[in-house]
Amino acid sequence: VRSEAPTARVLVIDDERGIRDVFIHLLGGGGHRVVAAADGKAALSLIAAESFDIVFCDLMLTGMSGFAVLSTIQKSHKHLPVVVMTAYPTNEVESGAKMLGSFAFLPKPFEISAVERLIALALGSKKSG
Amino acid sequence: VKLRNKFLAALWTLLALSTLGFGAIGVRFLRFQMEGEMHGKSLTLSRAFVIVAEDALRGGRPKDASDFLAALKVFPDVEEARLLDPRGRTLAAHSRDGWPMPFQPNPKYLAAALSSVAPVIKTESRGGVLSKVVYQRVESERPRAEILGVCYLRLTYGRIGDAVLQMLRYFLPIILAWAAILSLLAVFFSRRITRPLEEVRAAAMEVGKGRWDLKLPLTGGGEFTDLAAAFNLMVHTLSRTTVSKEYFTTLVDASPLAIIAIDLAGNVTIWNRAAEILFGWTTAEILGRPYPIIPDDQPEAFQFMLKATAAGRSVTIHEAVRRRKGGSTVAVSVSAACLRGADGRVTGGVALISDLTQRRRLEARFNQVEKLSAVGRLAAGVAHELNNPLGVILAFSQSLRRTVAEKDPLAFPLESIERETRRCGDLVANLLTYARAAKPEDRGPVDLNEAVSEALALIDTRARGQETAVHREFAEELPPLHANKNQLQQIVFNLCYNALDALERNGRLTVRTALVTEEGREWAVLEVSDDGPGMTADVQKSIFEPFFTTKEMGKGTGLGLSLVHEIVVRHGGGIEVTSSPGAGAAFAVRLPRAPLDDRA
Repeated sequence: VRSEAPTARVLVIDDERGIRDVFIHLLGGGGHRVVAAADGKAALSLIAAESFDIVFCDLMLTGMSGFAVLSTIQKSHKHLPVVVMTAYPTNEVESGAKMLGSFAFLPKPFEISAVERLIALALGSKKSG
Repeated sequence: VKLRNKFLAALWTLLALSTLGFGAIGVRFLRFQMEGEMHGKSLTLSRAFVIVAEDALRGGRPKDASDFLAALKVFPDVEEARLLDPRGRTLAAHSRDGWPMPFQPNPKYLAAALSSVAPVIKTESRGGVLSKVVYQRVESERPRAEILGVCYLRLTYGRIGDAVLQMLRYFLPIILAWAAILSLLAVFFSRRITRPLEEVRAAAMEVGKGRWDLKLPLTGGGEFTDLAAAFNLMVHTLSRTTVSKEYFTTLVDASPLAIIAIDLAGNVTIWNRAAEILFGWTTAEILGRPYPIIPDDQPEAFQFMLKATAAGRSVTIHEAVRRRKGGSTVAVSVSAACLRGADGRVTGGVALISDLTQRRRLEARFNQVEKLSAVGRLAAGVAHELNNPLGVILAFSQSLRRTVAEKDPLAFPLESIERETRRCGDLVANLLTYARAAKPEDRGPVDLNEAVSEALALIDTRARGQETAVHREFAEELPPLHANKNQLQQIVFNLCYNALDALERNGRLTVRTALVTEEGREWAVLEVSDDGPGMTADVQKSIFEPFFTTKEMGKGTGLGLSLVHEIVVRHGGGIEVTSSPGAGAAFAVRLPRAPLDDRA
């Protein structure tokens, strides 16, 4: 864990507790500020309340679907990078996510290095953008 | 004897008989003619003789008649002429053969002549020579009526045979010419009669050889046309009702099912082509020999069939095992029935045997597909439930491993957890792909070279890791394929990963694309070959089966090649493997350039 690395404000939306734990423990331990939401509604109110550098959003959520959350965020926060996660990775899902303007597609199970890379990318794009 | 010769013989016999008949009539006619002529001549001469004789006798000078008699010499047929007294003594005479000649008049003729005014003219035969003899009385009325003597003449007919010979000499050339003309006519007409018969005979020979389609032309007229029509009808009827041995053999040999017949002793009497192919024995080897295909360990199966067929029942065993030449066995279905002779007695049995190997293979394939799609559906159902926990395990194990030093006792187990978790993730991903491969989703025009290039970009990284070169041999100007690009790349990944797994270090991996034309269609070929250790034939047989793997525990899921196979088959293509131990392996995938039809 590199302390000199820039810290990011990360929002995780997943109804799977294990996944939320992974993000909070690992990324939180890495100096990032991680906020987790179990469903889309809670997530959207969090986004409305504070600002984030990157959002990791699962597709299969209870209540509002991941795609609905993604498109809602796209409307209100056009420049907020949203990474679409799924435990059911198919071509349709991937291309659907791409069409809706997702920042990246992250099939589960994922490597933490992949998550770290995405965060770095998001921070980089924000700096340049 | 040929009909024509008989005809000619009959004709010639008839000709000869008629010639003889006409000859006899001719001779008779000739004789009748001569008879009349001689009669007239003898009558005339006799009249003249009587007048001369009357004068001579009345004057008492019978010798006066001698001059007349001598004058008769000019008639070559006058043999003898005498002037007799009423008692038959010769008064004067002339004879061709000279004087004197003993002479005794025929007393009967003499008496008849003395008592009649008319001359007595008779025909005599002396040594085959016919003569006319004439007796005529010489009488005077003045001074008183008295009989003065008798005139006797003998005229010869000459040899009647000479006349006949003469006649024959005239007529024989005519008769012979006539016979020749008749013979020629006879030959000509007999030809005309026998030629249609010849044709019928030749046609019958052809039919005898099995040419059932033969038809005679309806020519010749009259009875010949009727004969040809009757012949054609007969052949037509026979051809529909008679089965020739040759036709029977053709039929039996054409059967795609094995047909085997045995006699009551259990010896083979019919063994067709399909039986030769299915069981390996040739007809020549097996005819007249015992039924060979019953496996030694199940004689009861045969006994059962024998009993049932002998009882007149037909039996079908849907799944049986039979023996081939060389001892291997084959799964078959057997239907058997008894054969009966014309008298209704059982003479043997016949069995129709079909090979179940192909059906078994299809069933196995079907079962495999069923199994896989079931697994695929299950995987799709639980993928979400598996991938989430796997994600958690993977992330935490990776994170933990980062916190421990390389020498730490926890490093090794953590690494194992991480690796095994990845393996589970791969398995779930493969099963998902499998489930999706069944659906013709997302197909469109795909540039094979481009798809392969993209996939190889990922392969290169790993290949470099084991110092293996990836050679690309791409065909130029490949037409686009109607395919799912992701699935095509899945094929490349799986084949290349397998090759890299097989290669140790410094190997050579070649990826080739080509366009070939086979079975009248264009096919794109993707070939992945390596110079690794290769495979045995046994391994090659099983590589496309799901969950089959030669990789060490934990290295492979056993789904890669079956997934490749599934994708290729779903795209209407095929895959072939060429390999032998120590000689590397080549997988050639063939994909149709255009789909046969869109059954999506």
